[in-house]
Amino acid sequence: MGGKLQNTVIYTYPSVSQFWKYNAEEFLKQPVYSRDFPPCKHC
Amino acid sequence: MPDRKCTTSIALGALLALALTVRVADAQGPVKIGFLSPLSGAIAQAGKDMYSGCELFWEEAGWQLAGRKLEVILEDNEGVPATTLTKARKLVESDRVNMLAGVILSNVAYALVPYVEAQGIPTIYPINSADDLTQRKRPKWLIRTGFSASGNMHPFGEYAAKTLGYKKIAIVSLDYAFGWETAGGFHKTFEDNGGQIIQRIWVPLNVQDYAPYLAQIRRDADAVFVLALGRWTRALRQAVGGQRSQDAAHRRRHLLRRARAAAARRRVDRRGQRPPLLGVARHAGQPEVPRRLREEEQPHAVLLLGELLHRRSRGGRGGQGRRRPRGGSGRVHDRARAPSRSPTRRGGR
Repeated sequence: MGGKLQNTVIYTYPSVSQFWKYNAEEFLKQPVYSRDFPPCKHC
Repeated sequence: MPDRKCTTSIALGALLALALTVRVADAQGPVKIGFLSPLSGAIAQAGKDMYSGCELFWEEAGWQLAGRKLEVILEDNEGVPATTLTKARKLVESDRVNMLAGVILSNVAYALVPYVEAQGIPTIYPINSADDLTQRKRPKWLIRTGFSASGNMHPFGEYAAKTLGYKKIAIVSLDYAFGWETAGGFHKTFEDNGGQIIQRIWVPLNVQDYAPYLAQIRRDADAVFVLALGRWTRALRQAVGGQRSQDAAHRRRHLLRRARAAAARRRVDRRGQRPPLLGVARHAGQPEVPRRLREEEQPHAVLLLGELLHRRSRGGRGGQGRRRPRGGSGRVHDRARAPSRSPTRRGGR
């Protein structure tokens, strides 16, 4: 904008929540994200 | 921002109503809010900004809420859990505030919850984003108006895999709850959409220099996911800037070496003699560099140099360059380092 960088919306995902597209109940069964979760399978 | 401000105002109103209901004994006095904010330490600027935003609203409201005078007691929690608990006890038990507000860092936010629940003190976190405050461990006396850390990163992980097309990403993130949850949300959806997280580097909160951590990033990563904030962002930028300037200086030296070598080749063609090592004055008796190696010098040798430097540092120093057989990889190493301003390097390798 006016030659200066600024934040702008580049894409919108409609109808998602903090649980993303996952089933909320299933999502809450997994541990909270941590140092070890998700496991790093390709490290 | 009007929506955010409105949301915060509604939440403040709801909490205030709750606080006034609970603390009937204080019903005729001023409304007292205890505000815990990191005004010093690594996240100080964000702490000042958080308070300033609330202060703007209170000024516009004439420092009154529900027709009652508003008093705000601001305490610096330094972004440290233990300090936060001490200050919270002071605010609740000595100052007799009606409610608590503030807190930014997730480790601090989680640490304060047991005290909030035990005291039954209405509390609002305007910015904090610790996942479990709205997921597995929802407190009874706490409202958070900010986002959830992983919630913001779920779409970004999918976007990075599907739209940006990255296949392998390394993560460099601060080693505490917000870092884990932010990186975790990205990790989950990036891999669910076909990507691979090939490395995770957890940076301690007391980090002063990011350079050793950036140096560990795997070369086969398509991109790097970085989580830093506050003072850590500045430290990261300094390290990245330093790395870039080092890389640029390295490229300049590389181009200079090639130009000197080309000029030397032209002289050789004219005189029928072999060129000096990278155009640097050489000492009598110093082994000459085979033409084959000089001709093999290509731009990607810069990467090779990095590997050789690591290998050499593990193998130790001390005149190895002279003992290496001609034509070995060490010769490339010596050539690359020859332009150093160190006189010992010029003459000794």
